[in-house]
Amino acid sequence: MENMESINKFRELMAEFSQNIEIPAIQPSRIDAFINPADLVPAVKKLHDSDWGYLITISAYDTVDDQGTPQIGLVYHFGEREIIGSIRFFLPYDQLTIESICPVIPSATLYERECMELYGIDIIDTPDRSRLLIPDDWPEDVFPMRKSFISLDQSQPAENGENHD
Amino acid sequence: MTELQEINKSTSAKKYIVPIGPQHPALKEPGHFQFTVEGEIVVDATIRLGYVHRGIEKAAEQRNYTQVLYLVERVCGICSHSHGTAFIQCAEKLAGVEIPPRAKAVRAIAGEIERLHSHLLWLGVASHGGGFDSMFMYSWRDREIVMEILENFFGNRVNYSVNIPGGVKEDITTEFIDQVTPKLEYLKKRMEYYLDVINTDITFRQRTVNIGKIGKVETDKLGATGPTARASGVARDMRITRPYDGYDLFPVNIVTDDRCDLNARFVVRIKECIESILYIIDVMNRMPDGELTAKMPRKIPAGEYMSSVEAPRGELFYFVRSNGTENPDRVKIRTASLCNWGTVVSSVAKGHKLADMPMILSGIDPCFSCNDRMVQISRGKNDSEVWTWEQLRKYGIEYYQ
Repeated sequence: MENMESINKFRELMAEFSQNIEIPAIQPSRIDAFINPADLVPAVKKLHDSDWGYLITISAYDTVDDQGTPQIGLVYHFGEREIIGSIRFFLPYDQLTIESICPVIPSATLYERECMELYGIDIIDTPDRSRLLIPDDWPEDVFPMRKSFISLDQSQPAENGENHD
Repeated sequence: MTELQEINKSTSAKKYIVPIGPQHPALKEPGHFQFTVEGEIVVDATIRLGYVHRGIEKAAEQRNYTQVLYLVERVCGICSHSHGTAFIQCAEKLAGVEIPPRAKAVRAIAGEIERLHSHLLWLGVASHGGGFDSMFMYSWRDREIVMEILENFFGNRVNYSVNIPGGVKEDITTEFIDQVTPKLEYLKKRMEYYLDVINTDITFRQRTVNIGKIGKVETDKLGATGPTARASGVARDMRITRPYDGYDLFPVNIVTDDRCDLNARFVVRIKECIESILYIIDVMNRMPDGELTAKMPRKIPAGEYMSSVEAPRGELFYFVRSNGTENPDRVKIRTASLCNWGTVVSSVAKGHKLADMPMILSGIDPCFSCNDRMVQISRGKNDSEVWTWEQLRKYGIEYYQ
């Protein structure tokens, strides 16, 4: 009963931003709101101001759209009781820029730094742009979690994920 | 003039940055913190991770689900079962496989044994950080009992791999129940003794009561999880809020404390150990009959699943995307101590004394690894002194003498 309330509240809060809201059949305790990237900060602020859940993490993944054009999917996972509510959108490779949600949720800095380093997403106004995970001498324009990345040494592509160098 | 007085004199008015880390053998995983201090008080804190970044999420995309199960267990030796459970239940749900009730009970028991060994390890590390070395040695001696259980019945002390896709590979036998019950009863008495010590010992209370306070609302907003959240009165426990394998059949009692300080974090973890012991005894005497595994397909249907598991340190979150092949398309892992590190950086550390930092850091049970660790005390450009973690620990103890 409480779970239904949480789902309905999420749906209500996200209605003005969402192009599409889905509850996956495989996981009824989850609700995904697909929004326009420009609405990210107002959407997060609305959830935060309404006390709907806490930010679990931000996930990025490399994928393609219906035409096969590469894009990055971003998922902002929020948890409220049993329900996981996600704010999601896609960024095409030539527009990998979004605003930071740190002014609303300061602890998001760690997750934003991770997305910047591993996927090359430019997060405007994020308070700390220094390296969090990858080494200081890692090349600026190489993003290791993208599907196109195989190895720093392109002449010897790694086999099955193992680099025996 | 003692070392302490010298430092106090030299750091009385200006702001200084004190880098701590990345490495020291006393801690389990390397991280680097920079505490900005004004005199003795910490006014800001930043964090740098990645010294043991191994690219496991990338490696997971190039292996099949069975291989990834063993891979993710190696994210952390202390909570290997939690990682395995969180990952494989995503794959099982995507494949539409329901594991047998007996397998669920075994997963829950293994999870609670893991919590016992993790909390006892933490109790020793945190006590050592404050100079309570008898407590450290007692708790680690008692932890050996748990490690023996794991080694004797699950085959290994840390990476015991109880899970397999579709179920478990270890059973809870009569022999297990007969041998483990007296050990658990002994451990319960020990935990009650530790609870008494931390609540009554004057020195221990002086180092922990009203130290590292973080309010309930702030804890909730920062997304803190596990004992760190529950010690601030936030009733957030994935075993209860999002019950998963085993905890849906056998509910567990939640432990919370409203005092929000370091002492509450000790109390919550020790009471959780007692709850875990009672839980294991209860479940192993009510084991459901039946198989230990269900059949799992090699290719997992396309889809996405998000699962949360209550690891000893807090909520462990997995987001798995399948593209219909034998290998996952994306495995996103949010470990339990990452979100709690955020609470230290954002709020807990600020306004506290540098001498309290070892215990405040230990209080969230940060997952550091076995490497060296240094503290650099900056006194302007040309005058800096390098401290080891040991010296910072001694400084903290001496400060309170």
